[in-house]
Amino acid sequence: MTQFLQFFPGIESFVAMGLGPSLVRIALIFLGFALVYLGYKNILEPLLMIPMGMGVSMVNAGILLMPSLEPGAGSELGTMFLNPLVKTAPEHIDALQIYFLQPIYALSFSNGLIACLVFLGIGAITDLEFFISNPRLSILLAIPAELGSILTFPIAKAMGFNTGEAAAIAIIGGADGPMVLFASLQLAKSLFVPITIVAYIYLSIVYAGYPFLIKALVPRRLRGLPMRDVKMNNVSPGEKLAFSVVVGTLLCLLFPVAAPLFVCFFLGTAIRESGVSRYVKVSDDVILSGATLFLGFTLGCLLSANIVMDTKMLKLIILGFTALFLSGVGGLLGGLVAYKVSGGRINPLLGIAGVSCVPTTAKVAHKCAQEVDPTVFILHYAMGPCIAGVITTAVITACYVTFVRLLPA
Amino acid sequence: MMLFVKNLFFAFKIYFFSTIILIMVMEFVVLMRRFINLNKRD
Repeated sequence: MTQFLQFFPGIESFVAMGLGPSLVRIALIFLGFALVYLGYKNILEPLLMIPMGMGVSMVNAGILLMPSLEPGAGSELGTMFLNPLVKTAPEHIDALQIYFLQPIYALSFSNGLIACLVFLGIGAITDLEFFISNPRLSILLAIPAELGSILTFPIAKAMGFNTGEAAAIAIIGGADGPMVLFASLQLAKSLFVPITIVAYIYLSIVYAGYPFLIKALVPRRLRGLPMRDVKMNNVSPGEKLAFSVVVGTLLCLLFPVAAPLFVCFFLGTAIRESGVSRYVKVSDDVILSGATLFLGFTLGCLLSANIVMDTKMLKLIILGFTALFLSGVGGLLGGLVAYKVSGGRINPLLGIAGVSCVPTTAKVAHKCAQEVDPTVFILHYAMGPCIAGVITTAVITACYVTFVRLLPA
Repeated sequence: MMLFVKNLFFAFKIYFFSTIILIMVMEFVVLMRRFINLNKRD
């Protein structure tokens, strides 16, 4: 039996780690299968869920007893994927030579580079026309849709999280994956894996979940409002480029701690508007796709049994749901106020688009409007609050990072 | 309870501050468009 176990170290590791963790490990392997299946069926976002599911199932299968990086510490359970616990420089050097994902983790996760690369790609595929054409409407709809980012903070504090962790969890309400990753790396490094995974899984089910919230809060007759009286002005590429350069620079000046995010997003929009097609192609096809692939896969590989067994995980699941639910409610209430104030010209579904999560929430608003009246086309209007939602979440993230750092320890 | 209210106040302070910044951005966009359109007319 011993020889058999030595021959299959993956199975031996089940014996070494005990019954409880082994059962969680098996559950995680099946969770990985489920994520891949749900991604394949387009129920969850396939771009993220397929690599994440592969990472979760395979990293939990491939655990083995291996020599510890600390000299004289004997052997410990680990994988050949990556080791997030290395601290000292010599350990880093050793880890880079052992774990195949360690270079990606060390050079792009610890400093938030991966979030910035995703943001650069998002910038390159974002058309600012909708936002610049109606800036007041867009921003005023995006502000109430941040309700979850605000109200979740005191709830998380009351549930026992410290200030930095509570702020990072609250950012889930902004519905922007890269922003959650960036905020948790800045404010709650010890919890960045569970926070980011919870955020991405919830963001993947926004497309399926928000229509229920819409149907509960917005009467059917308002959902099919055509918005024929709201004008969309043409915006020249020069205007969009000027906006990217000046607003990006202004936000970097105001919030240097979040400058990497602002720089990358507005660099992406500037590349798009400058008309350098080769840069647009590389930002979308290579940078965004590559960063999303490695983000999903590495996050999946970081989801081990000890993270799931942490008592904070259940609280995170509740808080993640609370944050996105409150943001959705806030957005729709903002949309209903806009409908009233405009004298019935603005479709209240535009409010849900302010939650951000480009372009999912805009598509949700459009889909729900078309369910009532197939001739209604509000997608181009909804993209305005959706893009304003990205900028709003970035500003709130920057405020949290700045203010939390100013608080006495 | 007091602590909850204190944290809620802190969160709303961030919300208020962010809103001011966003309104600044919004008004900047409006002014920028007006300026560019004026130049086009000239």
